[in-house]
Amino acid sequence: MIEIKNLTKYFGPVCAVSNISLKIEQGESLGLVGESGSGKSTLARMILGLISPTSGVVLYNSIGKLRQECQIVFQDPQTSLNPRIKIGEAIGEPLIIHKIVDSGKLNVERRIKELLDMVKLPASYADRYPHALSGGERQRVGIARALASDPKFLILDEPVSALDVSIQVDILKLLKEIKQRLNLTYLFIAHDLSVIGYMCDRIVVMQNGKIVEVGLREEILANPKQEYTRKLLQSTLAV
Amino acid sequence: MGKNKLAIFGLSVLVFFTALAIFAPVIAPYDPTEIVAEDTMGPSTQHWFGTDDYGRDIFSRAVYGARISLTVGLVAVSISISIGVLLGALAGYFGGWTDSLIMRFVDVMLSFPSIFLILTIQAMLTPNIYNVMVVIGITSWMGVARLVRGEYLKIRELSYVEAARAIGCSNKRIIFRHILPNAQAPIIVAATLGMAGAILTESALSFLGMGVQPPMPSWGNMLMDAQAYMRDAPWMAVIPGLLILITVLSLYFIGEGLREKSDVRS
Repeated sequence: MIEIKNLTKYFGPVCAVSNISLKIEQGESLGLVGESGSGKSTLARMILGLISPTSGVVLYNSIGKLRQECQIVFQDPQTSLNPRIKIGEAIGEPLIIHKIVDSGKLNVERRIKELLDMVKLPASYADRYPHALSGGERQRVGIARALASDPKFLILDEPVSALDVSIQVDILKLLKEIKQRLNLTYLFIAHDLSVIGYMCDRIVVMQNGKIVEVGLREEILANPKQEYTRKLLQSTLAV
Repeated sequence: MGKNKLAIFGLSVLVFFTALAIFAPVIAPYDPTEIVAEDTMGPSTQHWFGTDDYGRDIFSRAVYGARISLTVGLVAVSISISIGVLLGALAGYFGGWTDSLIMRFVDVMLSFPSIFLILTIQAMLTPNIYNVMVVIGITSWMGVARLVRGEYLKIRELSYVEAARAIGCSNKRIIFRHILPNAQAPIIVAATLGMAGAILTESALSFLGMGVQPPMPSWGNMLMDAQAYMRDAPWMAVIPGLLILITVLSLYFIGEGLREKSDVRS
């Protein structure tokens, strides 16, 4: 579905992502792990075209529709929602920008309700501002916004790491359910291997901007070949 | 708490003066440009603030002067805020050479002693009230531009801006719809303080004879008229002087109050 070829990104002299090639298959849920600073987020932003790579390409079957069909859920729901924009408007914005719903206020409103329902928030939340919502609720709004433009591919950039543990499970369950229902492809970024183990079929391990290991979930979790992966696994278990 | 009370006091004064300005024709007992009595008469029940060197009613002139001074302040500040917000937003949002270009232009504008710049422009144009507004506006936007640039530099890094980009918002939409509302608090403070500055500049210009032209009254040119009569008719200077002082002080109180309020929230 998406193919990354020799993607490299330098920030000044610092190499954040170094010559990464990767294929993401239709319908899979690909986990991307690594410590903070390993280049996961930079890679994700290059796939979405939010950052332009120093070299290399991202191939997507309908590249012109990438802005609409590839979406992202951000890590921190405190800062990823504009404090001055109501929930309903935030979710409705992609609809208007991509002219997805037949123009007409009613249709947009109906779709906003549908999206709120999909993330299990009451329709009345459309009139609220982000500050009136809890962290978990905000993250649901973030998910609804990402789903608004009817994407086929979703990047989840540590979507639960800023949330309370009790809420994390709810959000992960919701994401799994949505994936099935809408037949989405996920790139799931995390530093926590237990979260990745729950969510993903295939795992990519990154270290210092390079891929150090790729494999199916079972192989990597049960029998990691790299020392680095083993360390990541241990640190997770220790917590 | 103290600042809050001062701000409310300032706001009340300003509302009162604005009402005077709007209803000037009803409130002023005499025509402000007409000679209605003996010259330089002290305050009396007939002429509350006395009369000036021509025998015009100072109370009426002060009320009409409020009209001029407040209008000039408001229009000038609207111009300076518009320019400052636009250039500051472009500089802060795009960064790079756009930023360098705009900020160097700001530096150049700031390095002119602005009162002389204003006087020069006014000397080339015919000094009338419209030119005064425009000239004050286009020479006082630099502080706003710097302030707005700083806000944009800060806000553009927040993840809701990245989120806006991810859903496909245009730069224009991000600049005006996503960032501007979040930068509005300091802009409002700057506008309040800027209006005080504009009123002072208008007074200074009119005092120097380069602003609002007689016989139209402004607080500044009333002061100018008063110069020669400081001993014989001090009320001629005291009244417009006090009005300028109270107005500017009120605006400062409001600005400080707003600043404090927006600081607490962030």
